[in-house]
Amino acid sequence: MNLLPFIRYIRRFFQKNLVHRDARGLLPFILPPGKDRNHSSHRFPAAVVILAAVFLWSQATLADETLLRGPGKTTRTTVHAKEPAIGKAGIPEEIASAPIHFYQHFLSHQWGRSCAYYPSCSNYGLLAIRKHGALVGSMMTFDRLQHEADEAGTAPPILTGGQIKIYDPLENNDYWWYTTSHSKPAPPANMK
Amino acid sequence: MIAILLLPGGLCAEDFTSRYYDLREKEIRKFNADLFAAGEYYRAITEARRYLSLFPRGAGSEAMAKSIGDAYLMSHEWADAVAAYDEFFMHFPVSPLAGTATFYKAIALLKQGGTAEAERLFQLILSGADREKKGEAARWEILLLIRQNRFEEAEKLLKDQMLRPDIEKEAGQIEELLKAKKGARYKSPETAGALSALLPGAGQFYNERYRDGVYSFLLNTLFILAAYKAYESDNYGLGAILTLFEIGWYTGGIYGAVGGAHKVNRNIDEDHFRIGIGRLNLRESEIGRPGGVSLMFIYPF
Repeated sequence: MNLLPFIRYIRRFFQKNLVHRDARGLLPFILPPGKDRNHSSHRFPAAVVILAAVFLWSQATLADETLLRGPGKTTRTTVHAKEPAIGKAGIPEEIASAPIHFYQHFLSHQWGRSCAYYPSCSNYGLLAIRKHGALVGSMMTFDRLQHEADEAGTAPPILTGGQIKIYDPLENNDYWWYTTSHSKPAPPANMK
Repeated sequence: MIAILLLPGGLCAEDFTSRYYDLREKEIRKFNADLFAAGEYYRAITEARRYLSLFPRGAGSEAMAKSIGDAYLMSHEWADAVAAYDEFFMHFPVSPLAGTATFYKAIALLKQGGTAEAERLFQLILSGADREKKGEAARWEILLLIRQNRFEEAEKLLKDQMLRPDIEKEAGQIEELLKAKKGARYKSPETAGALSALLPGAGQFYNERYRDGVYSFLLNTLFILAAYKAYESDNYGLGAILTLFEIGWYTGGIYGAVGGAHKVNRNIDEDHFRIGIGRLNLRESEIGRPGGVSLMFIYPF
């Protein structure tokens, strides 16, 4: 579904009718009502935002569960998929994930896959929010965006999708406080 | 007359059957050993299972059951190796191969990340009578204790007179490892977090992740400035969005600083552990295959 003409139309509409003179190009619908704007003009952008949010919500797909395990382990992921700690999904998580979904649906497709990390930062964000909830997940996402530079020196490279990427999964960043039950070995059976 | 005629034939048939039985048993064992030696571990497992199915009380059934675990270990299937060794212990609880199987089960657990359980098994070997793997188990145990900075326990084990002959050769290296680990300079996650809370990026600098520190400082500075400017120009909507982002950068920076300190400490532990594996001759271990010739199992740590 090509949404570019629709986005261009919206942008032209804003530029023509609603944009504040001093802030052309910024988010026009959050600008305070000035002398060249009237209050009724807020209704349309608000409706657009709500519609876009509803659209994104309906389009939202769960993050790839297999990415939690890392490459080479994708065939054995369903065993622990029902673990309650993995898969937090509520209104806060949906709200926190919405900007990432927006990025993935509208921006990432246009810019191409440029992230040098695996999972990509946006997927990492979705996984983090899903695993740890909106607050901690968002915090981890912002951390990921900041710690990319030096992580490349220590994290291992992997080959995925024909590209060499730097492997920096969630487990690399939450291992010091979060341990899952399946990461512990099973007690020895029938051992003397 | 008929009985007289059939009796020798019957005896021959019985003799032939038992000889065929022996031949078949030896054939499977040899084939299993050959596959194992050739690195065809999964096919070796199939042959071992065939043997156990055909000759559950055969002369080589213990070795075959253990070889399944060995084959999984050689092919780096740690969970399967642990399960195979458990099956071995279930069927042959008093086998003379139990000590060796326990040792390799501990290795598989270690590779899975079950340090505590592996340690328990190493201690089981050290307290047992089987001397075959005692030296290796003692070195692994000491190395694991050093990895966890449990220096007193490591020194106690090193000075244990009962174990001394088994680790005499590596005693000097162990002492050096202990000294080096004691002098390791760890980072404090609390300090890193507090520094980042006071000045964004400072915790990353403390962790010697300088580029991260610069990025964190710049992002926080820019977003604070942008939010301030937005509020100053009565642009509260934009200001709120920028503030939300700034809270994200700020808290994410603190999280990153704390996590970064943990990562530095983890790297220190892992580096010392890897050096220890090399110095204590733990990189390779012999796995005796049923044929009698041993193979070297290399630990890819």
